[in-house]
Order: sequence, then structure tokens, then C-alpha cells
Amino acid sequence: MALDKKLNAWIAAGLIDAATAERIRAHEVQDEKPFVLWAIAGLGLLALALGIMSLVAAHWDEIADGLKLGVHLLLTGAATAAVWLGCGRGNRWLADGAIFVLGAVVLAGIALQSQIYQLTGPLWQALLMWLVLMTPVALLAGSTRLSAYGWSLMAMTSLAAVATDMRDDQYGLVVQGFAMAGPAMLIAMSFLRAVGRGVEFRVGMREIGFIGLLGGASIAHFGWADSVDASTAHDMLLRLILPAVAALVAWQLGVRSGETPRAMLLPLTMIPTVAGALALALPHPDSWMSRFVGALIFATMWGLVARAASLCGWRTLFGIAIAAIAIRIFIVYFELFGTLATTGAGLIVAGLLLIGLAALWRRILRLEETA
Amino acid sequence: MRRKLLLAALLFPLVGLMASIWSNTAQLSTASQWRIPVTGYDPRDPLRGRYIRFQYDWAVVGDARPCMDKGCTLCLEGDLGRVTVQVADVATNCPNRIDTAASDIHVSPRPRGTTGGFAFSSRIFVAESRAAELEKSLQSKPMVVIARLTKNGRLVNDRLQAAARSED
Repeated sequence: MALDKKLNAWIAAGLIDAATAERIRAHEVQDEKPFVLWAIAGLGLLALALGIMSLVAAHWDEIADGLKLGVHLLLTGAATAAVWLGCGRGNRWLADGAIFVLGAVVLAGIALQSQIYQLTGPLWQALLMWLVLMTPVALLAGSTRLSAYGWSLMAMTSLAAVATDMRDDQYGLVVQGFAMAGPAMLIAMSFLRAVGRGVEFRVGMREIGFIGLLGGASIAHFGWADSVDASTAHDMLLRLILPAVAALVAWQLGVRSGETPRAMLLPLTMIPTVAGALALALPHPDSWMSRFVGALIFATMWGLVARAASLCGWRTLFGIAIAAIAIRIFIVYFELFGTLATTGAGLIVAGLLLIGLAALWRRILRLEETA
Repeated sequence: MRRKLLLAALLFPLVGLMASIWSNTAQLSTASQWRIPVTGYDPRDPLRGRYIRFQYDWAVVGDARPCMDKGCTLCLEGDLGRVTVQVADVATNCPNRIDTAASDIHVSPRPRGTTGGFAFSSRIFVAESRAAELEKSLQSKPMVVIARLTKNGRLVNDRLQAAARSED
């Protein structure tokens, strides 16, 4: 087995003695879980559930609408009771598992009603109804990162669905701005202690918010590869009011809560917002200079994230930031792709920059080790 | 306090779904029933489950061009297989008013070479077991949709059937 091989290797290397290896082996055996047994039982349950679903689906037309709705309400009630029970007993996995089931059942219920009453309309209406119904449950009963991820992703998807269906009038621009503010609002809410049951849920929300903001700003940076005229920039400025306010609130709440290192807050809230705003709301032509400025802003944003991550010991984020800069540098090659001479120049520039970046990374890691 | 809030939050989805059932049932209970001739133009939309798309085969009075963008109000008239809709202003006195946006009726110009004018298309959910049969019927014989028009202007497609049947 893999553990035995490693233990033998460590004994041979003189890292541990035979008695320690035996104690480690005994500890691991004690902690061993019957995964194969669970997998077989899980497969059986899955087959059972799929079989029941297929039987119901085959006779769907013959089942009275009232019965369908009644059974669905019973299922909703059962999932609700399970969440209540889980919260009451302090069993967070029961509570959060039941929140997941409740979320799925509520979504299925909305679809069922759409089918029975032949309700038509854009998808966002159904998603928004789900969000309204499930948000109080998630924010009051959620306690694990997993449920935070589930609710946060559904919230951002629902807001994005609403935004894409809006017209570009003033009302539409404000709604689109509200949707764009989603990640920053998640971060801001995650610093409120009343949200969720315990810190894990809020950390999950915050992570999704940070990913949304940094990812959004990185995607927005492609705006530099296209021209933005004054009218488009004006519309975007209106959209960006709410995201800017939300980012500011998130930053300040973060500073007050002290849950995230202060050095991380600015690069994870305001700086991506500013970088995104510059790419989308600053009028610019589709030119070499614009692309160059865009690449510099992108590299600066991720560079500041990398610096803060390095200072705070967030090594995963540090690696992601360096990788983002490396990818952007590599794109320089494609931007210079053209004649043999410019392709060669592109390869040389991109290569040198990547080697420089790798050297810088190595130096930072060494400095960290000596510190 | 937090337990009371939690209880209220937990009951909210259940209450919300029940309220939605009540609202839909109440709207449909006072709705008027219509038989509208339809023609199929597109098979089922695979992205949205078992939906059959069709066009209302009604006579249109007035210019339907504004309906394409923001939707419009149609005044539904007619009987015994002949159905007419008049493009109307919201203020117009109309007993059977269809709100195309609320009814999710898609309005588009008919392609060149056809009878011209505008096509009013909609869709209806059908069970898996009947989907293929209905799709075939729409392409081969006259069909009608039995629809209910709620007081707030929503035209709800109830079922598709052959035009020859007369129980409705």
C-alpha cells in the first residue's frame, strides 16, 4: 500500500523509527473509512431514486395536478423540518444538507408550477423567485462553506440572468449595475456577524465574492482590446455607481471586522473595481497604446494582489496572481503575432518577461523562507 | 429572537410556494376560455424541455409593428373558430385584453414569400408521452389551442387539440 511504502522509505532515510511507523500505521487503520461499502450503498440509493423518478415520469400525464402540487408541498415541508431539526441539534451537516435539498425542492416547485399553470416568461423570473424565497433561509441557517458557495453562486447567476434581459434605459442600467455589484455585496455581507451560523458560511461567501471581483476585473480588462466611445462609457459609468459603492462598503466593513488581513482588503475590493472601471468606462480607441495600458493595469492589479498575498502568507492566492500575470504576458506573443519579425519579437519579449517573472517568484519564496 | 426569525425564514419558501399556487389558481378560476386556431412552425425546443412552439392563426387588425419590441395590448374577439385580434391602445375599452409581454407571445415579421404581416408565436408544455403525436398533428391537420385569458391580460395556453373536436 502507498502508506506502507512511504513509511518504509522514511525508516530507511532515518526520519522515523520502526515504533513510530507502527504507531502511524495503527492510527491510519483506526481512521480508515469503508469508502467502497459507502460507494456501493450510494449507487444502490441512486438507482432506487432514479427508478422511482422514471416511474413517476412515465405516468406524469395521468397524475392529477393537485396530487403533484400536494406531494411537492409535503417534500418542501419535510426539507424545512430537517433544516429546523439540524439547527436545533447543532448538527450543521444535517442542517446544511437539508438546506441544499430545500433549495433543490423549491427550484423544482417553481418549475412544477410553471408546467402546471403553463407559466411563460424569461428564466430570470424563476431564478429571482428562488432567490427571494431561499435567501432568508441561507443567510440565517447556513453554516458551512459548501452552502455558502451554493447560495452565492445561485445569487450571482440569478442577478446575471436579470441583468442580461434588461434594456439599456436608465432603469435597465441601474439593474445591471446592481447585478455587477453582486460580488462586492457578497464580500460586504460576509463581514456582518449576523449572517450565517458561524464564520465558515461567511468565509465561503467572501471567497466567492473575491473570485467574482478578481475574475470580473480580469474579464473586463479585455475591454482594452476594443474601442469604447463616449456614449458607451457614459452608460457604463452609470452601471458602475452601485459596484463602486458596494466595493467601498465591503472594504470599510472588512477593515472594521478584522477577519481578513487589512493588507488584503484594498487589493481584493477597490483595486479590481477601479481596474474594471478603467477598462469599461474610460473612452479609448482600439489601438496598440490602449492594449498596452490595459496590460499594464492588469499586471498592476494582479501584482498588488500578489504582494499583499505574499505579505499575509496567502500562498494559493499568491500563486494564482503570478499565474494570471504569466498568462497575460504570454498573450503578448499572440498580440504581436504577424510577420516573421514581429512574431519573433513577440516570442522574445514574452519569453524574457516570463523568465523575469519566474525569477521574481523564486526570490519572493526565498525571502519568505528566510523570514 | 433568532429562533423565531429562523422559523419565519424556514416557513417563507413554503408560504411563498403556497401563495403562488393560490394566486395562479385564483387568476385562472376567473379567466375566460378561448379556442384559438394554431399552426406549428417549429418542433419542440430541446433546450427548454418538452415545449411545442406554435403560431396563433388569428386575423390581425391594425399595425403590429410596435408589438415586436416592447410588446403590446391585443383585443381578442371572435367565436366559432374565427378569432380576430385588434392591436389596441391600453386605454381602449376592451373586454378581452391580451398583454403580449405578460403572455410571453413572441411577435416577428413573417418571412418574405408568405402571406406577409406578423407572426404571433407561443409555446405549451406537453407530456413526454404526447409530444411526438402532437408535433405530428400540428404539421398535418388543423389544430386549436384551448387557452384561458385572465383578467390581467395573461393568455395561458392550456392544451392543444384537433380543430374538429367541439366539446370546448
